[in-house]
Amino acid sequence: MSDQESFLSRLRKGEPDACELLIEQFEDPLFRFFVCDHRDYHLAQEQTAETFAQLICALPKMKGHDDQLRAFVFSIARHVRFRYWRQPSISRCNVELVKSVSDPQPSPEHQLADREQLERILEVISQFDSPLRDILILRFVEELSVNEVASAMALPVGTVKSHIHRGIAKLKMILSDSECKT
Amino acid sequence: MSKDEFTKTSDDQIEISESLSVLRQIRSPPEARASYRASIDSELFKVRATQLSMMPWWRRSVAVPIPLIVATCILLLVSTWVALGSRPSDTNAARADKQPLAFNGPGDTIASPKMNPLDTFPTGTSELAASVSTTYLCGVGPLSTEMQYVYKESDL
Repeated sequence: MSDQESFLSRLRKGEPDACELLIEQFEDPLFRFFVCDHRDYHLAQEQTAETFAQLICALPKMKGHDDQLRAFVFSIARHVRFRYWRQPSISRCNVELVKSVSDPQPSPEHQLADREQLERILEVISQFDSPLRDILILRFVEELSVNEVASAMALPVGTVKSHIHRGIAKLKMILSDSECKT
Repeated sequence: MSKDEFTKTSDDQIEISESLSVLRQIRSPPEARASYRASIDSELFKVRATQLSMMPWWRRSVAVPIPLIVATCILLLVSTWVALGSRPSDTNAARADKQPLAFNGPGDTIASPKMNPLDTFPTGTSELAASVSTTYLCGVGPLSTEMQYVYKESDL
């Protein structure tokens, strides 16, 4: 039994060290996934916690092996996000306030430049619709394989490939436009 | 897809990947980890409670203190030992009690249960004889019935 496989079986049993490893492995990717969706850091934190809780429930029912864990985690994240969309009133806090509190960096100038670039990319990525945006993030930010993306999105591989193709063309166009403006 | 087109797509993918790599700077705040851990713990607690409530009664277990178990075992052993020690060796008497006496009619002799004479009656045998006599009147039927039991004991 490989390390990853034993990790999965320990996770299914709910062993604390395996849960800790799960948090270490997925807290940043999940947080990013949610932030790219709505740019609300506080809500992203809530949704990440909710995703971990849902994972504990869903992991014993997970079909497949260790190589499908990443796809499975993101498919649960998508379900969590859908559930939040359905909720009528979500108290969204001020994004600027949260950003000023969290993520302290050493150099203020460097931090400002990075943040501006980050804001610009977040602005660009927010112009995409949900499936296309998710596919691009999973493929190019989280570096999932096309098969994993297809599994996480519950879409055929061919559809994912065509989405990626269209997404790249659109993203290039938007990026070149925004560069021209600046 | 031609080779040129494939290479172009691959270059595009690298370019896009580099552009989007800025998003990897987004990291979960360290203080959030406690909330993730609490969320997992509460869910684990719920899952375990549900599993326990769904378990059939014959698979459930209860915690019993070891001193209680030891005391019960000692009590059981002592009571068994006392019960075995106080009981007389009357197995033959018990066997005799179990065998019913058969009586097939007038003049029949009821033999006492077969026993080892050396155990209880070392000097002889015993017999129980029963006789029934009835007086009939023609046309009327039985007038009186008399039953007689005789217990005989003979020496060997």
